[in-house]
Amino acid sequence: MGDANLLAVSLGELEQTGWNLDDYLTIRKDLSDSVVLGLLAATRIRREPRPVPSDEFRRRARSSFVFLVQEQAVSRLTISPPTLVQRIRRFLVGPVLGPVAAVVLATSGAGIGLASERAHPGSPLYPAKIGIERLEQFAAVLPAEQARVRLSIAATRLAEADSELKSGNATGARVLLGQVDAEIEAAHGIVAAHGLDNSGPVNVGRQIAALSTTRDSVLAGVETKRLAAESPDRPSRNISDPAKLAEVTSPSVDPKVSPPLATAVVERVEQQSPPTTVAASASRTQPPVVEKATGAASIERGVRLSRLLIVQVQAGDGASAMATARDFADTVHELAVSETGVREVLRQERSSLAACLPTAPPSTRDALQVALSSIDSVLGDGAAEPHSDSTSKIPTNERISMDTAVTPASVSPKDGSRSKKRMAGPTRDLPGVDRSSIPLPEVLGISIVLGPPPVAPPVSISPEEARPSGHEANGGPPVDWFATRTNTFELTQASSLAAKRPLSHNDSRRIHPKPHRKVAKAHGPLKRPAEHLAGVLKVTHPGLSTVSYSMADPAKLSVEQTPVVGLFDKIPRL
Amino acid sequence: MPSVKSTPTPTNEQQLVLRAVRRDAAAYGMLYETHLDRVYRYVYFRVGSTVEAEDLTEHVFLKAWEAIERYEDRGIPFIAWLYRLAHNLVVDHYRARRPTMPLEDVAEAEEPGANTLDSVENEIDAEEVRVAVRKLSPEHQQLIVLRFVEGMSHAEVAQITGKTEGATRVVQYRALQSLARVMQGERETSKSGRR
Repeated sequence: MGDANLLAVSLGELEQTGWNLDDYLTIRKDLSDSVVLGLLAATRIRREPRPVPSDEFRRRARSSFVFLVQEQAVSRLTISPPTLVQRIRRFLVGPVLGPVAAVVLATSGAGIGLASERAHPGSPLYPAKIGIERLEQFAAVLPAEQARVRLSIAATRLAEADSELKSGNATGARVLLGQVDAEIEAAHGIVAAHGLDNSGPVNVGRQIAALSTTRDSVLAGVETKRLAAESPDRPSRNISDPAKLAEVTSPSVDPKVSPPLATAVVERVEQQSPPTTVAASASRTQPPVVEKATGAASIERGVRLSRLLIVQVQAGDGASAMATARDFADTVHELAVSETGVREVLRQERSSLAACLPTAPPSTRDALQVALSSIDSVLGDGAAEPHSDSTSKIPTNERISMDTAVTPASVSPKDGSRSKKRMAGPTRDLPGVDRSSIPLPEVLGISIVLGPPPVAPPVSISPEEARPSGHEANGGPPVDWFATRTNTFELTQASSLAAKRPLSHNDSRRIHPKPHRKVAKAHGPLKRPAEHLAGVLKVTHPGLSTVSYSMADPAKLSVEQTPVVGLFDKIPRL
Repeated sequence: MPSVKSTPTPTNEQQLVLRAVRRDAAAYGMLYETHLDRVYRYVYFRVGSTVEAEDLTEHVFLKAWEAIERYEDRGIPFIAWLYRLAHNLVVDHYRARRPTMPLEDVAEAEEPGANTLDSVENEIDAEEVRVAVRKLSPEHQQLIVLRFVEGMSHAEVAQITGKTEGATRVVQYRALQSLARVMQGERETSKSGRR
């Protein structure tokens, strides 16, 4: 058997003995020097501590990935550079040329229309499909026709959302649903502005109601997928029942949170542009028109505004949600609540809105409160379930699922050593930011944990763990000073530091070479390991402002995690 | 030895991979959560710097997401594909990186009054082992990390590297011999440097 095979066999046997090399070599005295050398090297590697990525890095990388995914999902649905159809559109100025556009569409555009009719987001013909829709809007002269075209586009978007959902692209489905809302809102605006009669051939109200129902079912599917992705072990639940929504979205607590990360996420959100979902932008550019009429149209409008509010809350668009909530409140106050059917509808909408409150981003909670209060004020019979301010119930360490499409700010590297290819992600250290009013980005199946940092208990090192200046192995458990990059300073035992030598400047080198030299320059030769380590820790871990050691027992070191008071506090020399 | 089989179960992972190939970000996110530690560990042992390891790990998953649609299930674990991406990125990283002064030399140069504790240095510490690993060839580094840090079997390493099991054993032998020589050389250098 060659040495390579013999080494492989020996490694297998050694592994079965628990990597007790001394005992194994005692038994296998027949092994050649090269094989023994290989076993020694392998055993040495095996004893190395396994590095773990810091929580801060995990969240930063996660956020970068989420941003990338959302950006790609949105870009799949946007219109590509101008196509022939769109260039034709640019020549059609105003409704006067609308009929001309219709003729152009009917003749030269027909072929494109047929081919692109079934195009889905991401396919090459999808831009042509969008272009033809725009052309149809131009071709529609009468308000009723304009509203019909809008609803037709909404129905198309809804079908595409359903298709995307079935293919597993929940993100794309959500974006398309935003576009559905925008088109419905536009149609409703046209109806309101021109006072269209719903009893005519274009019954916009009925079409809106039908679309809204379908839209809700698709949205429920999207939410179900998202919740299933967040909790794969949880049985999938139908969340079309709003009462069950709060049941499946329960916050959990993660104790390991570092303040730089919490503030970093806040800073990232603060620097980002407002949410760019189509629903949000559409609602800003086309504010809903308040209808004064009562009856079925008002109820329908109220229901639609309620659902639009839910979408805007989930998207984290506080401003639009508030505007919608106020319109909803106005609509509710105009309703004839004396009718039983109206009260039942209001109660149902109230349940839907209340179900969103626990998971609503902070910036949208006021809007929800406005809507809920309006319902409570008109019902006023005590039958409405009291809704509590969920902010008081959510624990400060909260696993929050966030919903909006955001554009995170680019990150300036903390130090020059960082690669310029680093993806955009959260930055660090933004004190004084009130995160309660800032929307948070969506995380698909992955949560970002926020909360105040844990209070780490003081860590003491026993004299056996800290080497005395005698530099003699006394059999005590060695200490691995290879701390993580979080605020929590962890001491772990490492078999590699086999208590055979005292701590040295080398121990800090793995973390950062520069402070190692700073310590040497500032303090000069240090005679006691504990004192040395205290100096090292002060530089490598600025968050550890209290590093004390006992003069009576220099081998004993106490470390406490407290807010930073100074980067390089001097410590007395011995 | 760390567990070779990672959660989720192979069947679950196959389903997640199939969904991820269809650009299901949630499924890919779960794969990310599952394999992040292992990829980070692998990269860290190859580059030796936390900052660089984080950068490269992030790029591994970014590249994996960009290429996920081209992923084909050939009967090897998904982590094997990630390791291949990581290996290629590490190799590219070394090619692009400027040669830097070894840390030991820097530290020695700036410490005229060296701590007497350093003069007693005789044993190989963890940092020296990692430095030694980084001085190996990329092929040897990869094998050392996969076999003795990640605890993979010869068969699994062979799947990742695209070699036969026999060839993997030969590479293992050579890699360990090289590592032992490098560590011995490091030890002698540190002893002579501190006298």
